[in-house]
This record gives sequence, C-alpha cells and structure tokens, in this order.
Amino acid sequence: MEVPYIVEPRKDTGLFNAKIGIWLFLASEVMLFGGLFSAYVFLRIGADFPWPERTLPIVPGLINTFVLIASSVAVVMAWACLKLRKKQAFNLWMAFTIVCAGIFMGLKAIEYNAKFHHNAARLADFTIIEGHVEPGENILAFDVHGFNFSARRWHGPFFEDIVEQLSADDRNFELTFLAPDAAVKDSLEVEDVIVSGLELHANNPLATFGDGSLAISKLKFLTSDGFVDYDQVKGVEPGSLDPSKFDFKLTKKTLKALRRDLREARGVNNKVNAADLREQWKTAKAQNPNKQNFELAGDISVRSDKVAPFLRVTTGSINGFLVDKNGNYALPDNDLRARVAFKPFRPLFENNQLKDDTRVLGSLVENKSAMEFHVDGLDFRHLAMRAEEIRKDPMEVIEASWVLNEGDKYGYMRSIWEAHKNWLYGYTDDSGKEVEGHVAKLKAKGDVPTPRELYRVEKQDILKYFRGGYPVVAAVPKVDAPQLADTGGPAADKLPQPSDAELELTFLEKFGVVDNIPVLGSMIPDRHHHYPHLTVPREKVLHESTFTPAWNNYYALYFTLTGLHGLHVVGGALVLGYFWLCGGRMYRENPEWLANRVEVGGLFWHFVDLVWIFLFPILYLM
Amino acid sequence: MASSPEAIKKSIRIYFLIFGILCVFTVLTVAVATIPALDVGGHGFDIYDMWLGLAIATVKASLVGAIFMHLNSEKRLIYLFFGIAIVFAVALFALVGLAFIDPIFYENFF
Repeated sequence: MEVPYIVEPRKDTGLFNAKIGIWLFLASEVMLFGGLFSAYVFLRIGADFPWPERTLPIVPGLINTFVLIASSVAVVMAWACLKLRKKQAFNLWMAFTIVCAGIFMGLKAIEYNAKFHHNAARLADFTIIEGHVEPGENILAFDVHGFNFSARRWHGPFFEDIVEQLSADDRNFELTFLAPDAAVKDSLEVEDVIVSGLELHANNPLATFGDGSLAISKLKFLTSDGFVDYDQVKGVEPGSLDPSKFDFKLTKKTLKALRRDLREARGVNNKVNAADLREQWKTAKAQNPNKQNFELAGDISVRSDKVAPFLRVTTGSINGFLVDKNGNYALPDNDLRARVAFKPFRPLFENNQLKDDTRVLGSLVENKSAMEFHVDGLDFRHLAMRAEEIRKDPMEVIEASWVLNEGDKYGYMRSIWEAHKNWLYGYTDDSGKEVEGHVAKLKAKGDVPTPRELYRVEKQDILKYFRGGYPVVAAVPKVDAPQLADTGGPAADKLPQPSDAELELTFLEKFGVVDNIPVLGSMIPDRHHHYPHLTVPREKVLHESTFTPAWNNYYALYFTLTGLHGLHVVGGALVLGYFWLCGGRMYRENPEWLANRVEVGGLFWHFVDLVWIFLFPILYLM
Repeated sequence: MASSPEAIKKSIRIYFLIFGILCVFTVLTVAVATIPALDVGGHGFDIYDMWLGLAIATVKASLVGAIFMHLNSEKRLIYLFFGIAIVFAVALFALVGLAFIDPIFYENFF
C-alpha cells in the first residue's frame, strides 16, 4: 500500500505528514522541558540551603556545547546534501553527527562517573566536607540490637549483606510485628511464631482475642516458603502452638511474602473502613435531610468496635517489622544514608538509615567507623547561612566549628582556613611586606565578596595552600598550635608533605574536566591521597552522599535534566543512524523521501541542541 | 523554506555562518561568567549575570530555531503548534510566580 504524503505536501496543511507529526511532538517536548525548567526555578528560589552555583566543571560542558552545535550543522548539511543528491557527502555528514553524539555521551559519562565517586558530608554543625572516601578504608561497625526492614520497600544489597553475616542458626529470627492497633499488637504476642492475615469471625469482638476463646477462621504462618495456611485453626489457643514446626528463615522470599500480605491486608482494611463510613453517611443523611455535609462530618468516623472483627492484621505499620538480634555487624562504607537518633525519646534506640531504607537499630562503634576524607572542598556556606539566621557573626561561628578545632587532628584544616583568611583579609609576608586582601581590593572598587568567596575553600585553593607552593602558607605558623599537641597528632613540621611532582595536576584536572578518572584508574593512578586527610567520626555526620540526587535538590535536578537530555541524544542518534545506514532503499526509491525523513530527524536533533543551549548556562554557569 | 538546488547552495553558507556565530556566543557566555573583567553587575553570580546568560542563550536558541529548523519561513500551521507550546511553557513558569503571592508566607498569616 502506498503511504500518502511522504513526499508531496497535503493540500490542506501544505506540509508532508511526518513534518506535522514531528512538530506536534516537539511542541509536547517544549512543554516537558518547560515544566522541568520551571521546577528548577521553583526549587532554586525556595532552596533552604546555599545553592551550589557554578560548581560543575565548565570545560566538558563547553566542549559538549561545541560538539552539539557542530552536530546540528552536520545534520542540516546532510539534509542539504541529499537535496543536492550528493549521497557520499550525506554519508560523511551523518557519520560526523553520530560521532558527535558519541563524544557528547562519552564526556557525560566521565562527568557522571566523577560525581558518583566524589563524596560530601554535612556535619552536625552544617559544615560541609567534600572529598574522596576510599572504598575499603571505611567500614560501618555496628553494635546492633535489631534491624528494621520496611515491608513496603525492596531490600537490595544491604539486606543480603546483613543476612550474609549471620550464621545459619542466627537466621531464625523472632519477629515482632508492629501493628497499628495496640489491642491487635498485644494479641499478636504469640511466642516465636509468625502470624499474619488473621481473619476473625464477625460475631467475636476483638477484645477477647488472646483468651483462646476466639474462633479464628484462618491463620497463616510465615515459613521460609512464604505464608502457609494453618488448617485446624478453629478454637486454637495461639500460645499453645509449637514454634519448632515453623521453620522461618529470613530470606528475600519471606520478605516478599510479607510485603504482599501487607498490601492485601491494607486493601481489605481500606474496604472495610470505607464501607463503614459509607453506611454511616447514608444513615446520617437519611436522619438529617436538612443538614449540610460539613455539619454532619464531625460525628462521622470509623467505628473501631464495629469494624475490628473484619479487619486484617497488617504485618507492618509504617515502621515495617523488626528483627531482634544482638551482635556486631560490619557494613561496607558509604551504605549509611542518615543517622536518626531518637536519643531524647529512647536512649537505647538509635535508628540508622541505610541507603535502601533498611534501619539498623543500635549504635555505631564510632572509633571503628570513622570516615576518612581526602578533602578537596571545605564549605562553610550553609553554616554561615544558619549563623546569620540567628544573628551571629558567621566568621566567629566558623572559628568555633568542629572541623577547625577538635576534629582537626593533623591541623590541616586549620592551616587551610588560616591561609584562606589571609587571602581574604591580607597578611604580612616573610619580608615584612603587607599583602592586601581580597576583601579590601573589592572594597576599593565598591564591591563586596560573595558568600562563596568568604565561606568556601575551593579545591584548587586547598591544593595551593596544602602543597606549600603558595606564598600565603608562610603566614600559617600564626595558627594556634596547642590543638595539634592536644590531640596527639604529628607535630606540624612532621606532617607528611607530598612532593611537587606528586601534586602536579593532570591535564584533565587542570582544566576541571574531572577530579580523577576512576574508569581509567589503571592509566591515571588514584591521586586523592595527596589531598589533606580528615577523619570524621560517623556521629558527626548528619548526611553523607556522593554527588548524586541524594545530596541535594541541585544534583537531583542536574541528573534529571541532563539525564533526560542524554536520553534524547541517544534516541536522536539511533534515529539518525538508522537513516544513515538503512536509508538506501528510501534513497533509491525516491531521494526526496529520505531527504524528508532526515529533515524530520534533524528537527528533533536541533531541538536537542536547543535544550542544551539553555541547560549549559543554567546548570554550569549560574 | 529553500528547496531549489540553487537556494540550498546559498543557504549552506548561512549554515556555516550561523555555526560561527553560535560558537562565538558560546565563548561569550562562558567568558562573562568566568572572566572577572567581563562580569556584569557585582562580581560573582548575580541577577544581571542570570539575565545576560539567559539572553545569550535565547539568541542562540532563536538562531538554531530560525535557521537550522527553518522556522524563518515555515507554514502557518507549524507556527500555530509551536506558538501554543511556547504559551503553555511560559504559563508553567508563570505558575512559579504564584509562589511569590502565596499569603502563607506573610508574617501575620496565621
């Protein structure tokens, strides 16, 4: 069958059909990206933390801009060559476009990879430490008295880690369900047995459950094979059940069964509650025909005594279920997402959230679980913001911060900060000459320093101050030394100093392309060790993450926007690649057919370029 | 839109010219953001840098749209589609503005 209007235009629209199609699609794309950009604006205006402006390396973004512009020209040239019937030239321009797409994605991959391996931690006082945390150097040693798995979530590597570390005997757990209703919870204290999905007869009020007088229609037990129905359950006294019959093991399968059961139970409970409410509304409306809904609403709520017999016991409340198990467990570093200490409320009940939302109940063994940072960024902006909120001088608060005092075991952070202050406010060099500070220079021009200049020490400055090649370091001995001696760290002159050759920046680092290249690890040796060390006990860390969406809203938006854009690049390259490699038949049949197809594919490609034209300044330069 | 071989040959020169202009604007947008001497407004990022950056990006995007995407001479229907999309995208931005008049932020709201 002949497809109409692939070459000649339709009379009513004046266009061939594919062009109408692509423009409709592009219109929807404009709105999609428009929505995301407005989300960016909204989150940036409303951010309650200092927005990390101009933090991404500019050079790869700049190269990518050139690459995309060049590919846009290449696509339009490919189309022009088809129009002029130059198939050879068309092939070359198309190949060039695909190569450009490859370069773009390659650079993105390097950029992403650097982010995935670069850590940051927000300390309890809102100091932010940036740097590399070497895998293997850090473990999380827990003194555990239990785990809390949320039955609603998928438990991945952490679950396996934990289960792996338990001996075979240990894998039989006593589970305590946290049911929402206290009465239900009490009734569930069936020794060592996993009970779920109780369906109670309507004529037996729940309050009597636990006496053994209750007729239970269906009782299910959780075993390593999932839930098993227990048949002769009528009149069974829960306390009399023999636990050894139920060979429960904590496996993914049982977790899955729990999750399914929870979902089912919730479904049932929702229906029961809704039915009760509906019935009450019906009665109330019938009895008070003249009253408005809002007048009646106050008296209507779920009648717990009526619905209780029909409710299913859910296996987990919002907390999921607990595994009671004492012992010591070591988890790989980087697994801890947040420490939620409920100390004021429950002194022994510390809740540590791992990255998959598993909660480890118990305390970290601090001296075994410190984070070893190779610091390449010291950021007090958040701390300064907080200080200003309570009308305090940010500089004073920074001086008192943990990282510059008791946390600074080797004195590195203090020297860096003093050097930074010298740069800001000026200093007297060795020959007695006054060197003017940055703030004074700006003041002379009627300008003021930005918070970033005041409160953040950048990577290149840390290297400069730390390596000793920078004149400001001469002033560092002004630092109060006692803290060094107090903490038992090495004396200041014994600090390990890397050689200049070791500190020489690689080409890619110099141009800010990457901090290091883990993918090319064998080619460029890991160099983080040349950055100053800082040992941060976990108790000081409130939030730590790599520079991924988990770190803050900015990175969440960065990955969403560039990720979606990257998918467009891949999709566009696939489409154009198809026309390039498989367009021969179209060309032989009618060159205009292929030309139209390439024009349509090209329109999409230009749009991808157009989005990047906005993304680059917004994410990299603003 | 040019479709005769002669017109296309002519427009090829324009494509390369636009490529050059786009590259220049790209360098410019980086220069005003990174070179202190070229910084507008106070130094460091501020609202002037934002408007300048967005203005340059808009000029670049318009060039890509007008020349590469042939929007300088298109059929009416396409202007209609694109125009409606732009209106909706702008409306999405305007919604952000509602946050500024949200009374919940007024001190005496509660």
